[in-house]
Amino acid sequence: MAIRDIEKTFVFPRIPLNFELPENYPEVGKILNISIVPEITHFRFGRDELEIKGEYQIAVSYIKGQSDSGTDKLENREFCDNFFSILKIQSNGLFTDDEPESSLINSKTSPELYTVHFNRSFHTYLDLEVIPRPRFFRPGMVVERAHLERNGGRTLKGELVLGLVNVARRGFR
Amino acid sequence: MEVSKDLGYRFYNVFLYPPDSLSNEVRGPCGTAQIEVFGDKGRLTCHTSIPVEKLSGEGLRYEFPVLFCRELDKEMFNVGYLKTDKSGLGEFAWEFTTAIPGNGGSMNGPVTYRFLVTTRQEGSLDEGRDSVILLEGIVTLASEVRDKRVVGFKKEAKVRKTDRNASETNPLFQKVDPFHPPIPNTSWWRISIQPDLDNGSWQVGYCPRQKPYRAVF
Repeated sequence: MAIRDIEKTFVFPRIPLNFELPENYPEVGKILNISIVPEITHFRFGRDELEIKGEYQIAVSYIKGQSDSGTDKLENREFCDNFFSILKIQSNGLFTDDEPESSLINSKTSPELYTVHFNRSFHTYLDLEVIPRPRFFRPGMVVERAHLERNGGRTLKGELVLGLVNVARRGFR
Repeated sequence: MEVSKDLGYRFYNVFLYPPDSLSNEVRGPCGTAQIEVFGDKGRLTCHTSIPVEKLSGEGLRYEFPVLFCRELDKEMFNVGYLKTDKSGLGEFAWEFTTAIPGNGGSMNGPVTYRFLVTTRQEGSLDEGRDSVILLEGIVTLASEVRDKRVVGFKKEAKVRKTDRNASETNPLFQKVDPFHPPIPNTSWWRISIQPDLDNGSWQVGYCPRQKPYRAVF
């Protein structure tokens, strides 16, 4: 069974995401990818509702932003009109280029990735009318849609839409 | 009720950027790729948010190869083609299987892949030239991916021995060329009658009265 055939029983309302980076992490330049693992830890069928408890783990990989240092470099370059003034003599007598390597070399090789993990829990109740056959239902959580973008330097905002699927069916996995 | 946690569902959203704009912050992502992994099955859907021709700078073109490059050993494999629709936006879908530990996977643990949309095939892709790479994204998947598409096996061509070859190897019938110059439109054979030395030149006969036994005359 292909993944696209998974039938979603219910799509939850979107969850707004607001994350703040931990202190020891650098500012976000570009978000490269996000990975989301939703898990249901407990569920309970009541008289007319289904209680679901769980958590989702979001990992965000990003490249460090370099806004402040970038403008400084540009100003410096405009200021010194003599090309050789940016060359420095090393102790062994060789010239070195004073220009930092980040602008030239880092673009060619793979950039340094930073990954932050966030854990959020959810606890929700679902009307049993939504579920067609509750006796044969075992809830599983999938991601319907997810988006995240940087909001300023150190915060991330976005949205997450979760969907409920039945994992009790045979041949589902 | 407790739920077992080994459903193995993961969702990835990979943002795709032109390779030269990774260091500058101004441009947002030019496309996204969503990867869903459920157990050992996975599905990737990708779409661009700007026309692909704008990135490539080429004229009309409908197909762009999509490559997966394993970051560890730079091994590349083609997973399909990004196709553009009427408005020029690219779309791509790919189904794959993942190597589950204990299921014969050569690499266990997370693997980092580079997702590339290019203008050329992997064979002619030069590492030093970025112009052929239109979009790229990096994703770390929980396990190695494998292509689900059916790959044909290489059939070995069966070499059939012809009867003529077999007769040439037979020592009792040897093709010879006795005349110099050879006589046209003729072929000459040496036919030898050799004694059967294994059975001591005895002829094996048959005794009608005692069926199980063989008689020697």
